[in-house]
Amino acid sequence: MARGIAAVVDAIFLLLIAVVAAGIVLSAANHYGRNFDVQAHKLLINYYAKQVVRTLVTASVERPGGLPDYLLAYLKENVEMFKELGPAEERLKEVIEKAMYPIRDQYDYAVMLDGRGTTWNTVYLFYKVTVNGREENGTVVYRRDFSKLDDWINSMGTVYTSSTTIFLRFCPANVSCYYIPVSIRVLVFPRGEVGPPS
Amino acid sequence: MKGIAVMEMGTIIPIVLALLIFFGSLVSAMNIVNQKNKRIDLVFSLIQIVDRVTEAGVITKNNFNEVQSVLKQTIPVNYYICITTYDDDLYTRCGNGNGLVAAKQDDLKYESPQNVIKSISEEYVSAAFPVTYQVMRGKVPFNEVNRMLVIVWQGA
Repeated sequence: MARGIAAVVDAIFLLLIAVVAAGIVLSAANHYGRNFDVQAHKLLINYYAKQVVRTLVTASVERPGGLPDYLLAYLKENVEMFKELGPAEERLKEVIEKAMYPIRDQYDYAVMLDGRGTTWNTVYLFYKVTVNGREENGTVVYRRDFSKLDDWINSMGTVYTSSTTIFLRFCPANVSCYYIPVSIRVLVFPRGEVGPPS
Repeated sequence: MKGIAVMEMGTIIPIVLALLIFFGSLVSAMNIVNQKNKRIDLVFSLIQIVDRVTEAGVITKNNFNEVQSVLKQTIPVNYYICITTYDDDLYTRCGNGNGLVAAKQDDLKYESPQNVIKSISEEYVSAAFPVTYQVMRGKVPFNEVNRMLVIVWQGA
């Protein structure tokens, strides 16, 4: 009789162990599934950022007077002439807004034209952030001191980014023109994660 | 005698239950993993499609038609692509004669993305990306910023 009861207890222990093991297996599978979804989503948003860079590099804009030209050509010409984006700034903003439209409800973004370390030593930052449910768009130009820009970027928790380098023609006074490397960098981050840059 | 039979039942039932629960959980876990693996395959296929369509940098009507035939040969999953200028309500306004549409199944070419999604009985992945599409303004080419919507799903 005692042996029989021992066998039943053993079987119940086996059942308990099986239930715990099943729980562990299912929880691991679910965890794997959730991780997988997060990774797949990250992959798509990173690819989105890459596609935005591609779009910025290949898009056309209308020059004043309605003549079409490549956005990059127009940017290069303006930097060469004015040492700043000048009239090309508005055109660049329009292209950025169009390119970001599909994800603007879920994500905030920033696009940097980064000429740090070059003779130009300027960064243009175009951004859209969400503060208390309200969207704010703007442009900040940094010259020489980039610490606030770096602090702003470092304050983002999750950020998806892609960049490419273009060459702008630079013509300082009394010196022959030369090309400087400037990177176009796209940052996409969850909505409401950071406030506007200062 | 009867007591012994009850004891044996009391031993057998928990053991059978334990085996059922354990192997059931294994099968269920395998299903979850397989399902996720299929999903990541779909995501990779989607990226592969966008890469193929945009690898020339700018999409033109001619290179889109060329790429369509390549996609049919190389992409193993079902897909639906729509390139359009519409900013809002992409899912209802794309297709139906608006924009460029390509699909692995020819009969889906004339459908809106909403109808395509309705017709899919399994898991699918969809995403919209910005692309540049070349139109002619007079004699000058102009690269418009458009949307490219891609839906991919498993199936023959």
